[in-house]
Amino acid sequence: MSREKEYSILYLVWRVCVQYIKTSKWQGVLEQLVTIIHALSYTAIIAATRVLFDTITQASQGTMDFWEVATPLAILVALTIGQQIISAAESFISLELSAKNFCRYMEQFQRKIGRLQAEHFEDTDFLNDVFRAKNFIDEEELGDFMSLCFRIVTFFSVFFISVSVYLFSLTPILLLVIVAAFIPALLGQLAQIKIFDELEEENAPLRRQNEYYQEAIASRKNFKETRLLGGFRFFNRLFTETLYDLTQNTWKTERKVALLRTLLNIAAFAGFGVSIFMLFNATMAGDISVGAFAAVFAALTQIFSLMEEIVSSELSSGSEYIGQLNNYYKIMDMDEVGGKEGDADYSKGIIAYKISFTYPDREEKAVNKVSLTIKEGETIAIVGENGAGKSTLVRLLTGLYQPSGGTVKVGGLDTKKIHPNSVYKGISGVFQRYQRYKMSLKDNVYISDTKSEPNKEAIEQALFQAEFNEKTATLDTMLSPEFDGIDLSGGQWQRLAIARGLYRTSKFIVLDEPTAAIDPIEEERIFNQFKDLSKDKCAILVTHRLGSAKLADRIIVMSDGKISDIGTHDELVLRKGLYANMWKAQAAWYSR
Amino acid sequence: MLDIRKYKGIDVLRLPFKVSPFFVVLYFILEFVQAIVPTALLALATAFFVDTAIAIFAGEAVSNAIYLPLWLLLLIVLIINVIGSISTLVESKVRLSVERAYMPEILNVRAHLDYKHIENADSWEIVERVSQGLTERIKNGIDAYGAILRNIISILAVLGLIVTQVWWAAAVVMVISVPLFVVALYAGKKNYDAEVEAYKLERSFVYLSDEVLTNRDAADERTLFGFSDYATKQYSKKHEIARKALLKVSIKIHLFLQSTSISMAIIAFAITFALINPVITGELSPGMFMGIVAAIFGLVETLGWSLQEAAKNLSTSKEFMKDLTKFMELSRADGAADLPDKEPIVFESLEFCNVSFKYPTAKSPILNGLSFSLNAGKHYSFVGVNGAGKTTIIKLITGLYKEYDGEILINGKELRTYPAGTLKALFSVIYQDFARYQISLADNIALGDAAQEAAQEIEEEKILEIASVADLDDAIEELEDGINTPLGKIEDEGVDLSGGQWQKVAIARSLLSRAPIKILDEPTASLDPIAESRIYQEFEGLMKGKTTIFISHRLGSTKLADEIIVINNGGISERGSHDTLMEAGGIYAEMFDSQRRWYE
Repeated sequence: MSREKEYSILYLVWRVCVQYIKTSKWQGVLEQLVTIIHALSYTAIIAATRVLFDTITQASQGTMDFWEVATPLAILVALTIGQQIISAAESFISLELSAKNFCRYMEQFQRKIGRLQAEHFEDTDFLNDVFRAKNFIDEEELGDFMSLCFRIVTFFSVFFISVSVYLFSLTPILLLVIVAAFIPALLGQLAQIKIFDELEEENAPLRRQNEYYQEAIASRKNFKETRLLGGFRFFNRLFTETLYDLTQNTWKTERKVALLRTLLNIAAFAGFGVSIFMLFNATMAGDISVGAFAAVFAALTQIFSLMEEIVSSELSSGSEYIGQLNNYYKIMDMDEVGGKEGDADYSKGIIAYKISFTYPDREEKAVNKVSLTIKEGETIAIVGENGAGKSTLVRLLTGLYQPSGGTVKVGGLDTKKIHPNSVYKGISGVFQRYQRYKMSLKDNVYISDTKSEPNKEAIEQALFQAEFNEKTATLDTMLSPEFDGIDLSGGQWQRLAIARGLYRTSKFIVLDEPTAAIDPIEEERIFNQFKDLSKDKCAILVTHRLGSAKLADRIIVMSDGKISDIGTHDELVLRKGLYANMWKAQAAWYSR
Repeated sequence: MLDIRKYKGIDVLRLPFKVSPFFVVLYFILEFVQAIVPTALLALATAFFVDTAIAIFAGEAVSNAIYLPLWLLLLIVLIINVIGSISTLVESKVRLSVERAYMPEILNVRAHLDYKHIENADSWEIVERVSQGLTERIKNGIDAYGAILRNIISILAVLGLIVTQVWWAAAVVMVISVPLFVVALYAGKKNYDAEVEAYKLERSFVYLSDEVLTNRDAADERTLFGFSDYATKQYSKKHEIARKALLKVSIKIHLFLQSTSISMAIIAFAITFALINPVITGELSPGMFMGIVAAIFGLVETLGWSLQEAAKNLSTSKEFMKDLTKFMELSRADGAADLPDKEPIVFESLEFCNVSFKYPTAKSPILNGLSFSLNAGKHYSFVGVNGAGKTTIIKLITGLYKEYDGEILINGKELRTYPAGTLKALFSVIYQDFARYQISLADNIALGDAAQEAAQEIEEEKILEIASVADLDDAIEELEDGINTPLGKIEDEGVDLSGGQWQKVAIARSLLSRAPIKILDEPTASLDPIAESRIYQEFEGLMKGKTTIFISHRLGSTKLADEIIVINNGGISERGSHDTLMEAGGIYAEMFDSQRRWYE
């Protein structure tokens, strides 16, 4: 895994810019052009204001007539209207573009996630990273960062350079105005970021607790238990205490920040004051006209607030995004499983040789040097206690996980060397965590084999075989009340999951403990059905209902990541090992 | 402080005013100042300065005269610079007061809600929106009113300047700015509606990206079935539909706003145009002209947008107040937050007489004329297929739902006549999805006897003893702070337990409880057979002398029962001992046989 990587800021910015141009194409160029014009319009307005003010001064002295004043006024108004239109166009284009780009970034991300190995999803750190990266796109922060990178050049730089040139042309000393605006804003920002970071650090755990106590009382999951226990007072006390601390802390910091901000504003004011003083001197010395003074003075507020905007909101959010961006590209750059294409030949069966697997955040091996051969058409049952490694073994045998040691060959294809698409081609399954897709009934089945067009008859056939019999549902019925459809009972969802597994053409099928929440009659039905459906396929049945293992040609007993025994049911019972013990424990409840 | 009444848009001010009147008023005073200073006062100061400077150049004034206007100008700039951060501080004071005053109240209401609201999607959505949105919405509401006040005052202030010069221009602005206000507010409302609409469309593609394409649970199917490409295409399609819908509205909104801004610019143009002649004739000083022009063009820049934003916030807070009204009107359960009675009543019998019950949103009843009776000291087992109503029975006897027909009698007296505390003291339930409270292990167990916890701390020894009975010794050994170690990941030093250990904690909690009836609700569904057997055996041993109810579809558990009750189609189809039921050859026998067959 290459997720530990740290990219340099320059590289990240460069990459973001390239990605932006690649995704936005001509629309991006258009957006930036409009932004440049927008930035220039500010300077143009300052210049036009100056001309107007100069003429009005002269007019008051009787050297200009009405129409000579009206012309610069008309120009100023035209520029103002033009600026309004340009800014509307800009925000419109960027709205449009950011929505489109958002979708493209999300597509890229989703496809990338789809190509990563399934085992990563057992790693909580990875899941957190994915969650963060996805949020980063979701909140349009990625897009914001990209446009920020460009905006700094096409808006702020253009504005400040053009204003500088203009001020310079009035009188060179005025360039100092820009410096006087910049330094206090920058200093202020740095201090503020630090204070808020400290606050967040102190408050984050408090907030977490506070939110949790609320949940302990009132979340759907805890509601009935807390009520019955009478736990309200207990949690409510904790809740009010943490709320008190939390608000107290926030208030203290806010006060600190306000004080600091006031000081900074005074510093900014000093910069402002210096600028005014320079203007004033230039005016008094006759270097610039009184009209120029008034025009630049009116623009000063704008220059200062733009400066503050770029430093305090844009740059600081930009610096917050750097970490997120790093994380995002780490995921986009993660290794994918690749390999050659190949065709599986199931007459070679499925062969595992000394395979081991360790979950990312655990120490002990979940599967430890297991060797196993499944012959063509054979049905295998895997039994064992919770945490014995049953599901992990199945995931290794289907190529969902790559063994850290040893090899798995599915129909002669080495899961490490052959492209997963080739390996998965003949494999289907019904998983413990089978999904209840909020889609139409048809799509719920079709989703297992989307490489070809949906085949209506095959879908109906699969539903029929799985004995899905919810009469109110047609193929187009949406299966989610949230999207104005219907909900299914747990049992029907289960059957639907089986139909999904069946719809996918397969030579090798897996049934991973799908019966946990099912009543006994339904359970028996499913097991018998599975036996029928897997007749001439390689099949694996993972279960802790020992009796159901009798359906299999062979039973594999797992314990602590190893195969502790293999045999038919009768053999295993006679051997008096772990299987026989478990069998006895369970059978005892039924012998009366 | 939060009454049950109809909340209106204006309550977004009234609620914070109630808890922090001084700061709310102060905030609006500051808004007022912020409206006057950068417009009218700044214009006056600019005029003063420019006119003095011109006079100096013309030799009509001594050069020292310039310092007073210069200092005035600087003073005004200083005020503009500082007042913003004070205003932010005042606002956060209001926000924090609101949070501190109303959040506990909201939580209190939530804790008292009738249970049916928790299971009902619609009311649950209101509950979530209200508890998550309160402080934010109130803050936005105050902002909105502040912005509107500020805009009105700004316009009036500039008008005040103009009216002394050209009265008719002021009149024109007055007449025209009213419709402009209305248009901007309307655009804001539209924008809000568009967002609400877009949110609905958004859910359809957000679902795919959240719960299908990037999450953990779907990882197995996603990888093996390889549907990422397909689902991503669906995602794009849905996104495109939402985007286009939103685009239509946003074009409209932009046009609206654009017309407001352009009309503003034109008005500004008209006014300044009218001001030229007075300058030439000397009625108006050039400095005043500059001051007014700068102020007017400044307004053009901000007015449209800030009003639109304000309007959007007003709409949101109005909607929020509707939610709040509904939330406060949700029915509540008496004594919901009460502690259990200190001494449970002596339990003799529990009887269902012809009880029927339908979930509020369901079409058909789940229990239909159910009758049975349970007696103290016996072990009962409720079995039945999924959806037969087993768990519903537990919800009824623990008083979560009271809208049933028929009678449920405890010791011969109707359940609904018992106070909540008495019922709570009567039952101890280990739910299938029992709570894993993220508090210390000791507190987790002590909650089993919350009545005592209120009166005096339960002795540590007692907890240790119970924990030991529940076979938690090894787990405690591993914890750094023993039973006082916080569990879960809420606190930094917290430790998470394994699923099995959590289950033992739940059992310990039930053991500590002095409730005479213990209920075990399908606790073994996800356990392996050995763990399952162990739990049954332990529970039986621990609960000797108590009345127990097992709910399960794993029929092995019925071995421990004195009496088995088979629930089917909302009623009792069979009851009796294992042998009787097997002889009868009904559903139970069929179910049992189907399971036993596996073990022959």
